[in-house]
Formats: sequence, structure tokens, C-alpha cells
Amino acid sequence: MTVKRKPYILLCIIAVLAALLGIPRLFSMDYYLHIFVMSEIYAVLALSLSLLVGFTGQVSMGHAAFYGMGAYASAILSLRLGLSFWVTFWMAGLLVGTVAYLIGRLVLRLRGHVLAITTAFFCVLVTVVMNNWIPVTNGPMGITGVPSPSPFSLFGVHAVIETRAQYYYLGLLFVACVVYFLWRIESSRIGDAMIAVRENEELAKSIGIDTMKSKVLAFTISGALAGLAGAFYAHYIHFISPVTFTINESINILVMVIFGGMSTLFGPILGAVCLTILPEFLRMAGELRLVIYGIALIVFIIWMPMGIWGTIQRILLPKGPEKTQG
Amino acid sequence: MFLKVDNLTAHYGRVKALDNVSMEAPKGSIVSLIGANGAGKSSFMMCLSGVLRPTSGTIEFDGQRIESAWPEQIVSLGLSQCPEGRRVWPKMTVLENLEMGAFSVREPRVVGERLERAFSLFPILKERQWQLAGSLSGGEQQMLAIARALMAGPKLLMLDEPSLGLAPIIVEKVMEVIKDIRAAGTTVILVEQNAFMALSIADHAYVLETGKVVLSGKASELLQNDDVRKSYLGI
Ligand SMILES: Nc1ncnc2c1ncn2[C@@H]1O[C@H](COP(=O)(O)OP(=O)(O)O)[C@@H](O)[C@H]1O
Ligand SMILES: [Mg+2]
Repeated sequence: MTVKRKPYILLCIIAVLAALLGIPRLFSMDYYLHIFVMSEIYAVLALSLSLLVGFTGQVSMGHAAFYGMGAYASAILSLRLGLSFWVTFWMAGLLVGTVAYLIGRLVLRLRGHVLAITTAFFCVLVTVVMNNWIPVTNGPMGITGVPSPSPFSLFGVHAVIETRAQYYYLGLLFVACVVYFLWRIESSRIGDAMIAVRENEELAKSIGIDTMKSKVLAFTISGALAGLAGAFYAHYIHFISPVTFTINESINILVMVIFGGMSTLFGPILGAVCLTILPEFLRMAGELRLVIYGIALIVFIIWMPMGIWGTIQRILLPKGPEKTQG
Repeated sequence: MFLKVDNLTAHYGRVKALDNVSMEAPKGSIVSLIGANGAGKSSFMMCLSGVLRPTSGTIEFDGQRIESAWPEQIVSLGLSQCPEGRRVWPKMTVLENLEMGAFSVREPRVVGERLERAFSLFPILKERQWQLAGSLSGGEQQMLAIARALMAGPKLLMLDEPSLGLAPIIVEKVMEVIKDIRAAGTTVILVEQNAFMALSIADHAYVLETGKVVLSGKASELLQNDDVRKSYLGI
């Protein structure tokens, strides 16, 4: 069965790749391109959160905190120390990853809704710090003038990242790397251990899996990737302020993960793209926009508990996973 | 002695679950631990596998002290358990469950051999290997749980209430399997409320009441013991 499907899958991949590369030519208006770049940033955020929520089964409402910390870290480092984006991007990831590790060690003893609430508090706390640690973060005024990535030469090709289209291609590369990285993790022993934790933590423990280690690792990687997304965002928008990284944003990312389908790699991307584009479409509806958006989400979550991608998979593969009971 | 537990005491917060429990199991034997609900049987198993830290006492397994070892170290020393309750990963296939059981084993060749052995011990699992574990019947899930525990290649296998919730005919099948496992050289510790089942296949047995060992001896003798007959066999 899988052998027969291969050429068809390959064809799909080529078509999707061509479409993705062609987008800046088809939608050359800056407004559209901006939505696509934001979709890429949200794709990374949703993918990274899905490692924790979908794959390891630990609900976090603190994702925007890591996203924001990455943005602030990279912006401050590049403005204060004059470092290039190509350096501060990685420093932001490393820094946020370290924070995520420490927070993870602290909070992952907790489970279920207690964990969700605790991470939500953490998110609020980080926003408070952004607003009040004025000498460093400039408080509610935010940080302006975050520079674009410096020009660079690669294999003799000189390149700059300044236009929306250039950011779009850089973002595409970013998403592709994240997908590849997560795919490698999820298909390894580490990934097996994470699934075992999600499905039955006690049983995982009993076969000798260090479940705390698995959870902390998922939390750390997830946080570090959100930090990288934050760095990308800061140098793309050139301005950051605390209002972007509130608990609302955490919920927004979580909804993307649930909406798209959590325990696959494609689901979160689909969720991120749909839920970035959909609200823009709804602008036409004016005041009613948020109401329609809310209702659409509720309907989707009730009718498609496995997310859009899970539902598509079930339709495409008639002999899908059997219903489980108990 | 292959397994020797001395004066094991364990608490959950301030609740004492085990109170100075001592027991031993010779290599190649089946040893049963019987007792009513809440007697501390599961807690005892959790201590052996390193999931629950004892407050005091020692555990010696195959010449090594393990009372303060980590669960993953204990598994790789050759002590594997089949905990009570939800015994499988319901959304994984039968095959994935079995492979997961060999998590501590790094050589694919060994995993392959053990898989062969599990399938020959439980032909039904071979037929159902692509099915989700959650869709198996209760008896099949129990077989899968035992097979999964064997995938770690244990020298000592601990089973927590394998007969719970199974029809009598299936319980008999589980008993046959346990005998086969012992015949293949694995020592078995069997924790049961079903005292009749546990005593009829064990060599030695211990009776646990509110965390204390109140009676122990040869299983065949305990089967004849008046107190045991009255309290645990309902005769
Ligand atoms: N996770 C737990 N937290 C607190 N108390 C527990 C926990 N598990 C068991 N206990 C208590 O420890 C005692 C022994 O329980 P357990 O070992 O599960 O007995 P059994 O397996 O023989 O039914 C009981 O009094 C039970 O209430
Ligand atoms: Mg029990």
C-alpha cells in the first residue's frame, strides 16, 4: 500500500514546493506577502508547541513568553552590542532554550490543567517584566529600529534580506529546517519515549523511561524554537513591544495547534496558515469579525477533534486507525 | 539469594504503605504475594522497580543493591514489570507496544529475536500486530502487557494482578503462560488478589495485610492453611 502511494506523494511534494516558491510572484503585494511571512512565523511557533502538546502530551500556555524572550534577546543584543542578526538569532535560541530548561525542570512535575495554569502565570510574569524592566526593555514603549539581517555572501552569491519577498524565502528555509529537525526527533528513540509519556506516563516509567527527562527535553526544544521564531519576528518587523507577547498570543498558538491537528508535523503548519489568513479575510465582516472567528473555531473543534489534518487523513485513508475504547 | 528484600518500609506522604516487609525469591521460582485491596502489593512492586522510593530497608537483586537505583538502571539489570491498571499504550499498534518494551535494548538484532519469541509465545499477537492495542480484548491486552514486559529480556518478571477483570478461562491461559515463562528460566513474582490462582502456580507465597507480611511459606502449604482458606479462598 505504501509502495503504491509513493509516486503520488512525491508529485504532491513537488507541486507544493513549486507553489511555495512561486508565492512571491503570484502575490506581489506587500500586504499579502506580509501575511505569508507571518504564517511562516506562526508555523514555527505552532510546530514547536506541537512537540510539547501534541507529541509529549503536556499543555503549555506559556509559549508566547518564549517567543517574546527570543524577540527581546535578539533585538537587545543586536542594538546594544551591534551584533549581526546571524549571531543574535542563535544566541536568542540558546538563551531561551536555557530558560525553558530551567522553567521546565520546575513546572513539569505538574500535570494537566495545573500545568496549563502555571505556564499561563509564567507568561503573564514575563509580560510584566517586559513592561517594567524599563532600562533594558524600554517598557511599554517597546524597542524600535531593530536592524535587518546584515548582507552576506554565500557560495559567491551576495544577498540581502530587506524586501518582504526576501524575508518570505528566508522564512521558508526556517520552516523547512524546523520541520526536518522535529521530524528527526520524532522518529527517534527520544520521540518514542515522548509518545510513551503522552499515552501512559506510568507505564512509560515502568519500562525504564526517564519521563521527567523526556518532558523537560520537549519543553526545552519547544521553547528554544519559539525563541528563534521571536528573533526572526523582531528583525522582520523592526519593532517589538510587550503587547505582542501576551497570554492571548499563547492561546492563539495553542488554538492553531489544536485546530490543525496536533500529533503530526503537517497539522500545526496548516493550522498556523489557516488561522493567520482567516482573520484577514474576516476583516470584511468588520465588527463581527471576532464573533465569526470564535464560532468557526468552536464548530471546527467540535466536528474535527483531530484537527483539519487529522480529518483529511481519515478521509484519504479509508482504513484509518480503528476506534479505540478505554 | 536471587532476590532478597529486607525490612522494606515505604510511605506515601505520611501514609505507610509497607511496614518492614522481608521476602526472598530463589532463581527460577514463582513467588506470589497475595493480599486484599490496599494491602500494599502494588507499592511493593513499585519499590522493586524503583518508581517508589522506600523509606528504609534494602533490596538485593542478583548480587546488587538496587533500593536507590533509578528505574532505567533497574530495567537494564534485568528486572521488568507489568504494572496494574492501564497496561498498554492504547493508541499504539501491538507491534509498537512490543518494540517500546525493548526500549532499553539498543541492538536491533536482539529486539528481532525477542519479537520472534514473543510471537511464538503469543501467536494471537502476531496476527494482531498491526492493530491498535486499545482495540484488543481485555485478555489479549493482558497477553500483550506480559509480552511487552518480556521484550526487555528480564531475569525477573513482576506481574501485578494479571488476572484482574479476566474471564476464568482466560485466567487459566495466563497461568499457562506464566508457567512457560518460568520454564524458560525467568523468575516470576506474581502479585494477586486472586489467591487461588496465585497459590496454585507458585512455589512460595507471602500474605500481606495492611503493609505487613502476616504469613509466608510454601504455596502448597498455604493452600491448606485454615486462615488462608477462610480469608482468601472463601472456603
Ligand atoms: N499514589 C498513592 N498516594 C497515596 N496513597 C497511596 C497511593 N497508592 C497507594 N496508596 C495507599 O497505599 C496503600 C497500599 O496500596 P497498594 O500498594 O496500591 O495496595 P494493593 O496493590 O495491595 O491494592 C493503600 O492504603 C493505598 O491507599
Ligand atoms: Mg494493587
